[in-house]
Amino acid sequence: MNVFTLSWRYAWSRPLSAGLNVLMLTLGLAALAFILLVQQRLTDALERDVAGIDVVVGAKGSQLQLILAGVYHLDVPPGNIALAEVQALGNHPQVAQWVPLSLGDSLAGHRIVGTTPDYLAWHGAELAQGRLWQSPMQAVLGASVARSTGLGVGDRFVGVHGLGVGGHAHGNQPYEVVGVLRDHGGVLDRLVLTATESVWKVHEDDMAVDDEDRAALEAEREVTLVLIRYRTPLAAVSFPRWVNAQTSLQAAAPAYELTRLLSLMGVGVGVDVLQAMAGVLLAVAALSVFTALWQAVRERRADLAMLRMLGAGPIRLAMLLLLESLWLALLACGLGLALAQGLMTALPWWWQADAASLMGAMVWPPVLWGVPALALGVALLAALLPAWGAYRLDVATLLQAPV
Amino acid sequence: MIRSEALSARHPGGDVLFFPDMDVPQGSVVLLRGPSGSGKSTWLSLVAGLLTPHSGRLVVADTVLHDADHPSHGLRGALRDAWRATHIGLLPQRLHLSPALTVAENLALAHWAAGLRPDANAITEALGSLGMTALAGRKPHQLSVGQAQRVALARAVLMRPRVLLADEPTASLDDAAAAAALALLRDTARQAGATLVLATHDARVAHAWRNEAHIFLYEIDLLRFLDKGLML
Repeated sequence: MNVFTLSWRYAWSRPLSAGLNVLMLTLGLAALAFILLVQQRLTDALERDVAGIDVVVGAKGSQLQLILAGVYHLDVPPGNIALAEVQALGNHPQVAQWVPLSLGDSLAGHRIVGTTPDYLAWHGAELAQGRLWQSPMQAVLGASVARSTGLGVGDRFVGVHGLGVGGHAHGNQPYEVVGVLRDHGGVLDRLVLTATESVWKVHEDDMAVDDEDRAALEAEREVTLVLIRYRTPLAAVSFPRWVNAQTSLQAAAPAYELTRLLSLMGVGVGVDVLQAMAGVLLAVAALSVFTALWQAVRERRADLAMLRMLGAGPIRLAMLLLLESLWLALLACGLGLALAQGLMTALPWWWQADAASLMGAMVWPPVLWGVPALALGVALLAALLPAWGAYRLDVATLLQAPV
Repeated sequence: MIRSEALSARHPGGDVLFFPDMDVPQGSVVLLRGPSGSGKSTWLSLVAGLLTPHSGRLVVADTVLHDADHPSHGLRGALRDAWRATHIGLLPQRLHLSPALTVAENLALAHWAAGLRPDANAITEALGSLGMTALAGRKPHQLSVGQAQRVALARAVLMRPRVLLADEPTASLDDAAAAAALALLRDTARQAGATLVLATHDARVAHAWRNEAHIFLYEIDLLRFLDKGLML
């Protein structure tokens, strides 16, 4: 028997009390861990979608709308921009890379995005099946799209005009699925990707009445917006200003707009409130552990005195009490983290929705180390006074206590 | 052996309690008598090194616990705890067996408190000598009063102490059980070669040992020493 086994046995000498304390601590720690994990996943997901995109250029309008439409594909774009203007932008000395996006059609509520393979490369997308498009009217499906539509490589589908269900179907221009992306955990999961030329072709075929008309449409080709990477970070200062002042376009920086969006949604405040609630839960749990330990010291004062009589020093007794508290906290920490991770893993299955790309497999972001650290702190704090009481035990008086 | 000179202890209330000088050879039996509150338990605490004397000199098992004239000679703190673990066995009035632990584990507490690894052989031997081997796995609440007292005694002598202190060991026992407990204490101390000190106000103890040789009888009373070194 050593101090660890002895403290474990003492901690569980009152199973109901110990069990309730572990439960309370577990709930507090699990709530905190869950909030931290969701916050981390949310931030990761939002940041993953803007990764590598320094600025988005599109038609004039709301900058936030441009970001929501072009980066997160959550809003309608403010308008289209001429291909010639885009090509001029691409030649700007501060632009290192650019990717055009053409929006307008959808498949069962999922956007069809005309672009170049660079768009997938920027997002680090990987193919689960098939290959990338090599010619117009070939499409690659995001993982969620493939799951929800049941389409696979070799299948055909037609796009619907507009971004909602019920628009005009481009029945004469079917797409062929040539690839399916691996789960990405970001916006790509929700998109149907194809060549920019596909989007042009669908609409030119629909609108052109003769060859002359088609030639005119080809001369006026447009894209919806352009994602741009700077050659140098200094461009962040001058490039958007130049675009907004010197062209008919507008530039919006995703990082800035994202911060503004979170602020508008009050996400930070919400997380703070949830964290405060978890903190209260933890404080109550700490108080409970303290009460239990204090009560244990009071009830076991004579037993502790006996240990002193047997030769155990006051520091060993204090250690015994501290370890009892640490055992409870360790157990609660393990259970709390398992509960939080379990919830994160189980929620997508429960919701049966891919909106849960925020959830998913277990992760351990560095911020999660705060949970065991907090559990340790709570345990030490709760045991401090009881340990001091054990240290200061009046052995002689206690041993003289009558039967 | 226990030797005390001009020993006194201060009560929490401030009163000073004076004790008789004693010189008890190793292996003797000391019967410490006096009414409740007379200071018997205080004296036991002094001998066990749980209380620091107010004055005087106290030597137990060849170790100077306190010397008012030479304070540095006395044992303090962790040294005194370590000394107590290996030199003193105590059978308190309340047995203080931990309800969370088995009988064997309660004995192992003595090893833990002394900073030693539990010695299963020593525990088995101690339980065996008191006929308690079969109860090693039981919890204290599964024991009778007599069995619990034997377990506490086994724990007290596990470290082969030089001095065995028993505080009112017969207080809650009927005549037959009290006689058995006294015989057990006496035999156990004799086997261990320990000095046995019994603090009691139970007249049955003196009566039972009336014809025993080499039993020192001391009566202790607050501020008053009644009898010194009387051989029964």
